[in-house]
Amino acid sequence: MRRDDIHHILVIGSGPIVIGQACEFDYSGNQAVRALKEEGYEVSLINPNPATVMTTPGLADHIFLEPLKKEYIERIFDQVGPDAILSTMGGQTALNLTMELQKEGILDKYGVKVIGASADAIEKAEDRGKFKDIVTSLGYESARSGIAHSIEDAIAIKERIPLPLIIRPSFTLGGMGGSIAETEEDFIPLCEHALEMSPVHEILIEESLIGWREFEMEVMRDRKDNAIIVCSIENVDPMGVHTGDSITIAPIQTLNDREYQRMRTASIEILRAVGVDCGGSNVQFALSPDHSRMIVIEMNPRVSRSSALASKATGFPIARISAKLAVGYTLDEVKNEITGESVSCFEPALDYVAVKVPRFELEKFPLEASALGTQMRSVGETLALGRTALEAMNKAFRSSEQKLEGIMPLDESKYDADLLLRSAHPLRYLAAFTAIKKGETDLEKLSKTTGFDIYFLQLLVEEKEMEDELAKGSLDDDLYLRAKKAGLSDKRIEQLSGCSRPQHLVPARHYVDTCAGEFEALTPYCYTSYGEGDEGTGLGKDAVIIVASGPNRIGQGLEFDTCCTLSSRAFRRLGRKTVMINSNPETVSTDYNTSDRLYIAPLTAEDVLAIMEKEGTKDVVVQLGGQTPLNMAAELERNGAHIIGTSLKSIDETEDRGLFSQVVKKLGLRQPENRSAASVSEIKEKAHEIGFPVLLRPSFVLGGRAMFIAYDDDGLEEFMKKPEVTVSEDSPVLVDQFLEDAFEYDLDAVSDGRSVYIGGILQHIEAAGIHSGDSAAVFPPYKSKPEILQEMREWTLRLARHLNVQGLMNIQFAEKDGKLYIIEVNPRASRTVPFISKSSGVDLVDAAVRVWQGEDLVAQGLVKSEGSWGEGRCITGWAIKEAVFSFDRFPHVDPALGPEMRSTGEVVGYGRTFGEAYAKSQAAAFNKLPVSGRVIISVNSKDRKTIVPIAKALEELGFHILATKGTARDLYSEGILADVVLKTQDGHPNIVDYIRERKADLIINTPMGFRARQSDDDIRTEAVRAHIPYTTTTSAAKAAVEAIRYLQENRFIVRELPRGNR
Amino acid sequence: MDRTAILRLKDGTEYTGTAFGADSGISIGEVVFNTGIPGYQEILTDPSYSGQIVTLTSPMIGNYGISAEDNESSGIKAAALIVKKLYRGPVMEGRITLDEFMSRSGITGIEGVDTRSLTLHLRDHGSQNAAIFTPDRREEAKELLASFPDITERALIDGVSVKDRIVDPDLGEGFCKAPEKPVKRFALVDYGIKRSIIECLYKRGVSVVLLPHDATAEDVLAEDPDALFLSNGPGDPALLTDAVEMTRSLIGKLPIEGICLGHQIITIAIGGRTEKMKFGHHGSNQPVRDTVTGRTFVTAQNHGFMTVRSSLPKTTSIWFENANDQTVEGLYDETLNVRSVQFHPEAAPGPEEAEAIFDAFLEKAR
Repeated sequence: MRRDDIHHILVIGSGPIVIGQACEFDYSGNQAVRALKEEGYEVSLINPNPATVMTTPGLADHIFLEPLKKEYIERIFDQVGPDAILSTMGGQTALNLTMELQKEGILDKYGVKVIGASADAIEKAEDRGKFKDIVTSLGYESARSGIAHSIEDAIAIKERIPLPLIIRPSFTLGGMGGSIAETEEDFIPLCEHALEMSPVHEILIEESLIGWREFEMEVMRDRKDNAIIVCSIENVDPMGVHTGDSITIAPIQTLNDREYQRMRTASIEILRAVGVDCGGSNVQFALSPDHSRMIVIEMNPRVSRSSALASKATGFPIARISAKLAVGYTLDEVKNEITGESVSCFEPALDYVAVKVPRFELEKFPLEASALGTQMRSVGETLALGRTALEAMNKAFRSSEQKLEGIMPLDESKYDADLLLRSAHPLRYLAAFTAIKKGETDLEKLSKTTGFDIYFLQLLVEEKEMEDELAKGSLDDDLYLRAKKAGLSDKRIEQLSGCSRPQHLVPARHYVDTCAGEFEALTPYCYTSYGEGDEGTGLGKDAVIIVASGPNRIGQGLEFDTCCTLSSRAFRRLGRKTVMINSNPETVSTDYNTSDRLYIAPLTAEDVLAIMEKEGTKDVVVQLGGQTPLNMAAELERNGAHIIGTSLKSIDETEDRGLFSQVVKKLGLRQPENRSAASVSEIKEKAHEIGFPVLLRPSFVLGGRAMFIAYDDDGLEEFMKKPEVTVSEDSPVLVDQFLEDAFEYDLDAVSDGRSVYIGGILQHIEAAGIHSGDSAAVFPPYKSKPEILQEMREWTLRLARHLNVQGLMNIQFAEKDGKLYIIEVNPRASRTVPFISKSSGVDLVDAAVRVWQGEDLVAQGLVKSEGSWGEGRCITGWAIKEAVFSFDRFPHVDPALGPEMRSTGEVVGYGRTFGEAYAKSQAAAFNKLPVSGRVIISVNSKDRKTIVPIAKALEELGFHILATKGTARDLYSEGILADVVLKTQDGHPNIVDYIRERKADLIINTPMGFRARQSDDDIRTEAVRAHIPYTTTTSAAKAAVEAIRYLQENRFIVRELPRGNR
Repeated sequence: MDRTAILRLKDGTEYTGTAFGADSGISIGEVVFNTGIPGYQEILTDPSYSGQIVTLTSPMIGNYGISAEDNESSGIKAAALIVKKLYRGPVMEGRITLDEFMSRSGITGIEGVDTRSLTLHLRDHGSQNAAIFTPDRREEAKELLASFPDITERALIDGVSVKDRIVDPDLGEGFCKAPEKPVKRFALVDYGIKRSIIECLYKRGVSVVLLPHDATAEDVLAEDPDALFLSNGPGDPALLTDAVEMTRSLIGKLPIEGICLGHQIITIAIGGRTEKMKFGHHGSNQPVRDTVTGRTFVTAQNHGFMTVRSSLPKTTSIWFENANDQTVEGLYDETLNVRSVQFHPEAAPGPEEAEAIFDAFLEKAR
């Protein structure tokens, strides 16, 4: 029964995307908010992540894009008066915050009840000691372990349990700070690090279960003690690899009923003992390879990445139902929306296999051979459904968009397959395939070496047999069909057999119905498979296919999913049916009610074309899912697709450098000097032609990968030494003029080909040369001459009209010495579209969809007269976007920023004043701006004047100022007394020493030119590691000063996101 | 060796696949689908599947092999097995492969069948007879199918019941032994009992006298049991007039309890009626609501017939009902001292949480 003792619920989101906490919480939060609204509650939401769907106006009643800090939540309690708080939808961040609010008495003070999981249950599940006691009292086994609060404790534990030992800090998300100590020497430093990582200075040290099998149960339980297992998940990778980094498969494949039921019963008993009685949890188990010992590893008393995966693998909406349970319903009272017939108090039966493959960024964050461990490192994941395990596995590898056409042997010129076999590495499964492909037949031995169950190795044997058969080179209809059933792509079949496909096969459509066919499915969640009976009929030619963005990666993530989701809603509002295609299970776009039909499928042209044929429509949107759909657009069009929006010819004009330069010339615009070089000597020649510094990058790269700024010939050589860099006629290197010290801008717009609506112009705070995705940016521009902005608008209009842009476009500009340059044009949705839409109150995706449906911008009221431009304004005063990084996960990776994007997420700070907005953006990004203490200033000669008022202000604000010699001298002449601190090259103690010893609270260091680059990098690296705020421009320093002023007032203003105009 | 095989339904629908297990000419029976995920060994050896060809909707079958401890009876009782994908790799030490188990038992399986389409067909058109055969025997199979009796006309329990009375039968490897100091003694009529039911009684200190399906009321009374317990089993309860008569004659004389077919026999004995369901409940995920406590359990089920709710006497209460389709899943009648459940509290395969029902059975025994 619905609870009537609460009326207004605050949902806590999870904040920025970081490794271990990604868009799965947008998916769950979004479901929760909708479920609560459906029940008639007033709903407030706090989440400073502007890229999310959940913060879209109109969903929750009160939306706060404010920092996830107790002070701000307290203000929300005060301002809008919720009487309950839902703690289980925002990952570890929300759980920790709820615990903090509870402990500090803030919940009691405002009479706010915790719903979802009680503070007591959270405590029991999260406190490793208490949890172990519960497991033991139920008669189950835990890993032998001990809890340490100090190094002495840790050593005492090591006496009891032999190495190797797992060390995990308590209360961190995604197992952050966890590690495996193999040797005596490793042990103490690893414990020290872990103690430091834990907010409560507590670590768990336990016996190593490396190589054991790992399983997970997704459980739901209600207050009547009804409990169900939504999904069982088996990790293909053995224990020792974080489950977020493992290949996983659902349902469990290798347990017999007795073993399975034992795990099922244990899971439910654990939930009961912990006291989870209105929501979902995930319980993890380890099983010894001979199945003789079952160990309970841990549980999460909340929705999680695994529960999002389980929801997509089964069709059972865990977050939605968790929200219903949180407000009093029981499982037998909630209808199963998929079947419409059955209740939610049942266990989904699967008649397919679901495989998840994690997506890593091995280029951006290189991993050592055995780098995976108790800490999650992957940035995204992909899901594939197939009627057999092999089919699903091949599809999942294809979906991961890591240049794999399914299960493939490793390129042994690049990888040491034997080493990887023995390593906890993302490529271990493919290394096992490589071994089998080379003739290994002793599966038992291979299983012992790798930790993969023989069952999973047998899949590889089957794959090899299929490949061997194909390699014989005679591809008949039967073999082709069998290869398709095994999940092989046409491309792979062609590669292996050397033959083109002998027939055109259309796959069957299957429904994910939660019940293995027992009831008719009402909700159209589909996948395809070959050689099977077809279900249902196509939506027909009025339907539009939206190709989404696939697994999260750096530079392509949640923002694009939000664009796809919003477009589906917009199309449906206008009466069109939508078909969503995506492979990323974490997303809102793959929620079964986002579109009229959903396909979980690899995002390749082959799969999209098959779905086009199945649905009987040709209309495909490729503008919203980032680079993935755009990359396949040409192939889709060649095969009969009608690409909605901007034409491929125009897209080509913006992506092809030669063509684009012609456009720039023709329209009378300006771009940095640029050349292309096909040999090493040519690179040098062109660089000298342009003049240093130059920006170098191989052609055909995404997200600024392998970009490099060279200041001289030495720099050119350094670039050429990078392993990913090759230069030839076929893959030339691009050489561009680098605009040092320029101001950079991002502009997002919608065009109908005649007029253009500029959603907003963002000005970056950081110096040029840092990837736009990694730089803080301000809307509206905070420091620009009106004539430069005017020029941007004019150029945008000219470009939009020339390219006949239909829909979204993004332009990056730079301004140096009063001259405007165009850096690039992207004829698609950009990362900043959701941010600009929210901050300006105009949903740009909706505007684009309306353009596609024939309603031009004038008719939409966004542009006054045809052939002109309209522009949005920031409805929140100031909006500052800050990038968020996950460097904590990669202690050996240099956190210095550059032209290559490395941030994983973003947050926004809104405010009436610049200071307020900036302070909030920093707080939301977990950057601690100081309110007192020491500031170190070291600026280049150009900045010596501009720094003076900043230093004065800091002095007034009570800061102690330290400066390097030159800066100190200049400040002194302006009447500011600064203590002198040594530069890094001048001896000790220097700036870096100060940072290491945490003797600085703020660092202002503007680039000293390339000669001091090393020392600048050192300072930045240390500052990032020590979590000390660091700015590289005087504009950022000024922003920090204003923010500090706001912080000193201690006001913690919260502002509801205005609804905007539409 | 080419082992192409054909599955043909009585309505003429055909599926092609590859045979595995034994080559037994033509396998024939009523084809039903089970939606459970693990548990193929328990399903195959469950005597209630006697006369039926089982389709497993879970597509990957054979993954963990066959172990000596998980047989619900002396061997495979299902007539044949239909799967999407048979695992043919090595299995854990001490286990044998499903293929070998089927071969040894003389039972044929067919793999590579589009089991989803078959399941949807059965859901929409109802369970029906089917045959599995090699392509050369199509005509013979067609003839056989045309004349083969419906499940409602087949006497199946004779083949799965014990022939003679057995006290405290040994359940074999993997199961517990009979209690040394029994607290109760049940007369258990065997219509094709699963070993796990007996084990659930043993675990609670109940000594069991297993009686053949044609045991008379006198036979039962001669045991002086604390309760009469009617087992699960295959086929249509309406055919079991002797069993119904025996049960009816003992109402009021003994507490009477039952599971599955036993529940259906009790239904008829107290004056109710059963009917054939379109495709039945076969799986490990059926939600069942306890009407007394309001709690819902996830249960294991395997039945193609059910109690007609409206046919029950006024004194009879619904103990459990299916939370999906509201069908009767259990009944009790204090005036008649009977109680029974349609689902399988012994699970095997399936969720263990309903096992507590055996405590209720014990409590109500004499």
